[in-house]
Amino acid sequence: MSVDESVNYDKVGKYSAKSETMRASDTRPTDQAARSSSSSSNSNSNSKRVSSFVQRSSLYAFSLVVLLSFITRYWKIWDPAQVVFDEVHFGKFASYYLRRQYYFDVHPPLAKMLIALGGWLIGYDGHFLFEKIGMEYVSNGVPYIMLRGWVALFGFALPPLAYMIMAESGYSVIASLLVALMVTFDNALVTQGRLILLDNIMIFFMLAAVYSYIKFFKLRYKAFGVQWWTWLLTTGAMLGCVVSCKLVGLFTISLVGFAVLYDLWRIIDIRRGTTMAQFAQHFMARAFALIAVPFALYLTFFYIHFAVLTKTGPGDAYHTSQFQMQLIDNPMTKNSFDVHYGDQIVFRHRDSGVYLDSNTGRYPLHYEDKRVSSRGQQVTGANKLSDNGFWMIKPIRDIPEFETFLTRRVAGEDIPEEEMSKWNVYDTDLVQLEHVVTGTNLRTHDVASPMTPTNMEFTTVALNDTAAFEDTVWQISIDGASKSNSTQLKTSSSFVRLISNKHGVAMWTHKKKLPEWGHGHQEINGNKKPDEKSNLWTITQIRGRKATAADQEAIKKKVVPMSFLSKYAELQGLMIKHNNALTSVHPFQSSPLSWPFLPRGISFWTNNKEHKQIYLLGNPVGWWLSDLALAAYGFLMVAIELCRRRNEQVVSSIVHRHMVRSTGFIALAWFIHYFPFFLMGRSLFLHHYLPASIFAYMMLGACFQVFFVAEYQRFTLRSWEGRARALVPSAASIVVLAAIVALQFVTFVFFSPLAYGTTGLTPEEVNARRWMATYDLHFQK
Amino acid sequence: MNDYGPAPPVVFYDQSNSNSNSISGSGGAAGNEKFDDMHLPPKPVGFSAYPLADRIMPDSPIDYPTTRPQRIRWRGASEQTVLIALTLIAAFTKLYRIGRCNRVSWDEAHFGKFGAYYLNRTFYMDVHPPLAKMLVGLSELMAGHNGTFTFKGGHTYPDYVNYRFMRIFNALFGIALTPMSFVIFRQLRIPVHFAAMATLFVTFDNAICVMSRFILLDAPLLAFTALSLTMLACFHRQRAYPFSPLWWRYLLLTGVSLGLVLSAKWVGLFAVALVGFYTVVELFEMFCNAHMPVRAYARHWVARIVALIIIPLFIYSLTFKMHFMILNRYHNSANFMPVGFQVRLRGNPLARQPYDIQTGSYVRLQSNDPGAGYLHSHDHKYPTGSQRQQITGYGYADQNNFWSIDRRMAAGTFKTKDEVDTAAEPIAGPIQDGDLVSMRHNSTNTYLYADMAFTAPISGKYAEISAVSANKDEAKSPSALWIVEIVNPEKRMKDGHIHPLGTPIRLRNLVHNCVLMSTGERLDKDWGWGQSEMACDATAKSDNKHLWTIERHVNKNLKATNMGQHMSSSFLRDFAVLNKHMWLTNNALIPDHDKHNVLESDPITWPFMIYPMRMVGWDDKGIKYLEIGNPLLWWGSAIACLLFPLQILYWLVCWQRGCLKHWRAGEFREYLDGAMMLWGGWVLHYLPFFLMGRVTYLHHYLPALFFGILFLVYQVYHASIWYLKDRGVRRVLYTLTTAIALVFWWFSPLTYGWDKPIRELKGMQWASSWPVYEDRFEL
Repeated sequence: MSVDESVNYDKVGKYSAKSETMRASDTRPTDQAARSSSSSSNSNSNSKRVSSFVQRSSLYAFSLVVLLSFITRYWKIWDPAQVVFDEVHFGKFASYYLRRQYYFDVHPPLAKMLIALGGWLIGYDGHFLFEKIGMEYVSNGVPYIMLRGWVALFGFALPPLAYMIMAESGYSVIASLLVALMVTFDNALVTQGRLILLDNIMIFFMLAAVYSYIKFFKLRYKAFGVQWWTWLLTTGAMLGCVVSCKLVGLFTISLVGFAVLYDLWRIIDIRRGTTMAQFAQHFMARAFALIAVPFALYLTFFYIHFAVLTKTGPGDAYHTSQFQMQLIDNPMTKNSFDVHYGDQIVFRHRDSGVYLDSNTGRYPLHYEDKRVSSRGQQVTGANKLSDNGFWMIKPIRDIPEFETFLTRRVAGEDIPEEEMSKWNVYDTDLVQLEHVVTGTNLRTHDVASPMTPTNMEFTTVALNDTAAFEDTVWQISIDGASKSNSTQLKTSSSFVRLISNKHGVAMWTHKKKLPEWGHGHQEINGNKKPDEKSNLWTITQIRGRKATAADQEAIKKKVVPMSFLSKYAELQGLMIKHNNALTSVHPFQSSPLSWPFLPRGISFWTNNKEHKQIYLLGNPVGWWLSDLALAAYGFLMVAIELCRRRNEQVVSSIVHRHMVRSTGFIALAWFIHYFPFFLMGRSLFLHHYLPASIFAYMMLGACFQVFFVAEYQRFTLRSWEGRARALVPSAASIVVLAAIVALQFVTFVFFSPLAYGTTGLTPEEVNARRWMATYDLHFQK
Repeated sequence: MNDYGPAPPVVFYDQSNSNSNSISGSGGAAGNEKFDDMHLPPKPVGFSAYPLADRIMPDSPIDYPTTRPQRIRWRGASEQTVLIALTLIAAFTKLYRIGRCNRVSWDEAHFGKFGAYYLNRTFYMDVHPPLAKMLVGLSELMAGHNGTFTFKGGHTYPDYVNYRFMRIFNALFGIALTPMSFVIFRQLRIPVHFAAMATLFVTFDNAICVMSRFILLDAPLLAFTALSLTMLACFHRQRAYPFSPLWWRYLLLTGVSLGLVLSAKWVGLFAVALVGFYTVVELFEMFCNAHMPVRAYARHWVARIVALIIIPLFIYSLTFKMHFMILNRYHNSANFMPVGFQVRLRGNPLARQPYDIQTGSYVRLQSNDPGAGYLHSHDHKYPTGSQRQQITGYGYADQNNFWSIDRRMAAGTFKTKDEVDTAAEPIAGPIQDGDLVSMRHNSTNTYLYADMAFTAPISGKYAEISAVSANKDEAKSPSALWIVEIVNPEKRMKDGHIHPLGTPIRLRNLVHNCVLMSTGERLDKDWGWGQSEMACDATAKSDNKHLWTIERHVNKNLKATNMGQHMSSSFLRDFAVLNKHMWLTNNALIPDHDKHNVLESDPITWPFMIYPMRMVGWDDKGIKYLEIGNPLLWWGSAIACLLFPLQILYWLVCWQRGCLKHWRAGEFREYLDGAMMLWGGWVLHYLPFFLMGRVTYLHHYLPALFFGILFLVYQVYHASIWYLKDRGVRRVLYTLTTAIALVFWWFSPLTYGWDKPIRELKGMQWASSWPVYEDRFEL
């Protein structure tokens, strides 16, 4: 983007102060012609030659785009009347907002809040939870048409925005029209654009930010004016919105960041006469509007998020106990009791939610891999709580007072608070756990666990087995006990590790199910890395203990309120952590390298009876053409640069500058919204390429302008409302435009049954649409 | 109409609305203001002197005059004296008490051993190219070693190995760094006293010193790297006089030194990359010079292709040619090499075999698919399919690999299976292309048999292949008969007969028209012992999996001949195979994170020398050597190299603001060219290690350190002449050199060996991570 510097020297060695004046008078015919014609088209004498239709062509083109965009997005928007793909998530989240229940998601809240806002406006109460793809909307009484129609507004706005960006960047009406129509007839954008999904909303803000920045940049000669500030702040606001929809918005921010760096580099140039003070003003204005404003907005949306979601909900479990206690009706404050020795308690694994369980079954002597077990009593993780899930917590030494205390409790005696508190359990206490039903003590020992040979087996042992005593001693280790002073073991609100005093292993379980002999329970064993977060358990209840209203009031008083910023910091950390952890392999994930070539899509929804399906797939013609355009641009720029170095002028300097600065911006936008995915470890999907695909379409328009639009440079000089744009396009350019758009339209119609899911297809018809063998469509047979 | 006139009044800055109003007010199109960029006056000299940033300026040094070149000449006798004195100092530091430790120390165990192979001429395999090891071998030869000592680590050198001489020979390379650094700096137009400072810095690094004092590859590698830089600097000085004799001399010498460094270790590729970048920049600048005729430009290209690509490759392959010529004894490490190469090695068991394979010969068939092994059978059944005896591929030679091959019908005497008399006796005589044969497994007395009714047990795609007992009917059926087809035989074996080693064959079943193949799958461990699966493939496909070579031929009635005379040899093929194998082995040297290795270190820890390395055992009595550098040099060079990008950024901003220091014509290029050569060398010799998967050691940083030290001096020199007066410059020079020498002396006990308990050596622990007194990894 080194336009400023490079255009100075057109002839090697000929450069001198004199040549500056020489060159200005020395007619470069193209430039000169451009200037005179552009000015002449402005003057009244010449405007007579242009018909009023041509003069208003931009308006007509824009209206056409709006109309077509509306039709494609809203056509049969009520169909299918079932939950499609990620509506499962985003519909559900909207419902949670309306119910004001706390939920957790890896994406920032804005887009989901907007969906919820639509629901609120139409009076939807959030009763439906969108649990499975294919659930019926009508019978569940969901106003889904209004919801989709609301979200589709954003999808509907994309083609007009694309038009505005192109026109504002100095492309001709037909080049802008081409881009807008390509975007209109892109199957993937249509599919995404009419369902309750996030991407349209995010892309809308993204394009709005790009458009605002272009407006802003064009006002650079009216710096610090009202308009200048307006568009600068709008850019910042839009950036704030896009990053509040998805963290992918950071790419858009960095795109604008690069453009700003380029702009600042121009401004700081001494030859423009800027003082450092002026530069500092420019710098501060941009830093404020493009860093502080987006961040403030981002925080604001989180503030609203927390302000709306005040009740307990499915997202509680991700958070610390302090956070959870902020939520209304949360089970923590409801059931947070002190645990006393002698209580019969239930352990629940935090991550997988299973209960620590034991039953009379024994481990088989031989496993499939020929290892031998202890043949001890099974200790497993059960999905359902039964009597087998109760364990009595005991001090390790025989204390006579404890015995009497226990007998009094068993007898049902009401023991005063002060005496009870003597038997509280604290962090680092050594305890034994007695399985109540079988009357045995929990034990771990140096035998390999059934399915994880590196971990230690968990079993139980008779109460009077003194030889195994050391194996049955456990240390209570409460997570974060040292930090929060909450060293007392409580139900629900304490996360606890159970560490074997002798072996140092922690009680652990994982998602693997035991074979048949284990009743499909999870394996429990001793993890040799006790510090891992997956070793955390909670105590969900104490047998016979129920909260009284007075208890709850007392607990509520103890809750320390959290500031907004500490809530935000906690949630942000969790979002990043869980986003990075999204590595599980999904059948429809794909590698970024393949996206531009569109080798496969994503199955969104199927209807087996009528052989209907929704399959997210871009318009292959459009995508391949824009790949060609990207390659052509790269090739062209290298070729032009090499020629320029040899003093061969291929294009006029005005056109060249436009190709570097404006088209280069589009190329950078495509690159920045695409390349970083190669560095990501998480599982990736085709719809991550959609933002980049719009910029690729813009590149197609830019290349169209280079190759087919006569008098390129006249378009670079005007804003899109201006009359100078009203030039009659050449016949050739209209033919090419018509050909490309027709091709795009025909392909769009051909693939539309997959985009709308309204028409069932026979296997032959499905196979006819498998342009590449890798399209894994349904109903091929 | 609008008249733009000459030089329109332009808006140079964005602030003023009034200016732009005045233009539009004068009737100019609003578009006018957008042309401002094109009317800015030229930038001040600075980065614009770099033709890459822009077009060539008239005062650019890239002017390519054709006047007589300047001869590089020594500035009088005093400079020579300085150079000799510096070299003597270097010689003293490198040679002082060099023979003190009379044991095989550190990696001498490897490289001494490899050197010895050149004396006893036994083939060996190593991941490094041969040149540096051949030099070690040369030193052993000169020292009078006969090649019998195998350099077991920690052993005391016997009397007949003059290890002192070998170490001195190796240390000569380390000493050579000193004069080369001097020449480099003189060629970069640095005055004598700073060139002397650079050489002293290089001399006084403890790490370079200690690594030059043992029989290792580092000293030759460093010396060749330095040689490349020296030649590049000399060539750089001649760039204004293209195609002059001196220009040619240094261009060609650059190529030669690249060949040497590349043949010492593959790390030499980084030096090639440095010269490559330099050349690309140079050629691109010439491309931008529209005055240069295309013919002249083409000549530049040709000259560089010849000197910088062809010559290094030639030298690289030449070292391999010598390697192959010297190593002529067989060792089983040569088994990955092409057979044509192996049979030429003396003592190879395959070298002497009966030539013609005849009825009654016993043969061992090896699959051409690497890893599939020998055609094998044993007394175990398939658990599935026909449940007949297994046919497998087995990687090790044993009796169950031998098959007796019998000629049943001659080629051309049969067309279909109906014309074959299965009961007829075998025909005597050599087996030819197209003959019908039976394959009898010798130790179980069974026949190789294909059955289309079943599929191979694991792959499931192809027909099953099995062994049927000789006394069963199937053994007499046509399904047990195979047509031999020779595919691409050796040039000298094209007589239509099958021979050992040189005639790859296909075995096609007479009935099913399927070909014996190894599928690449492994059989189940429980019943097939993880051996490779064999099958019969009826598709027309044919690749290495379908081809077999008779690797061993036993026939008591025939006389063994030397197979070497029948096998062609191709140096290029051997060269390619060996290099590919080196590459694969090198990549297999991946770090094992479960084992904390005492010696490995991450590249990120190198520049600041976080983890120096113990080279020998640390017991109280032994002589202890520590691979530790001169901390001042390591830290100083790291800081200089890391700050350079910031300096460039700062300068760019200054340049844009018009406040960049005023440079004389060409001076800016002069500075930046030198800086990019040295700093670029550091970057290219350091950063690639981050991308490597293999294990990395501290001494991998030494080439980068060499560049780093030179760059440090380069920066110190320029900073002091920019900001200091003459006296200050001299003070900087003396202070720094003294400090470096003192620190070198301080750490010298660890460089020259410390034979008392380490506790008695005080003040060495400058960083808590250093393993001087305690080793965090000590196991």
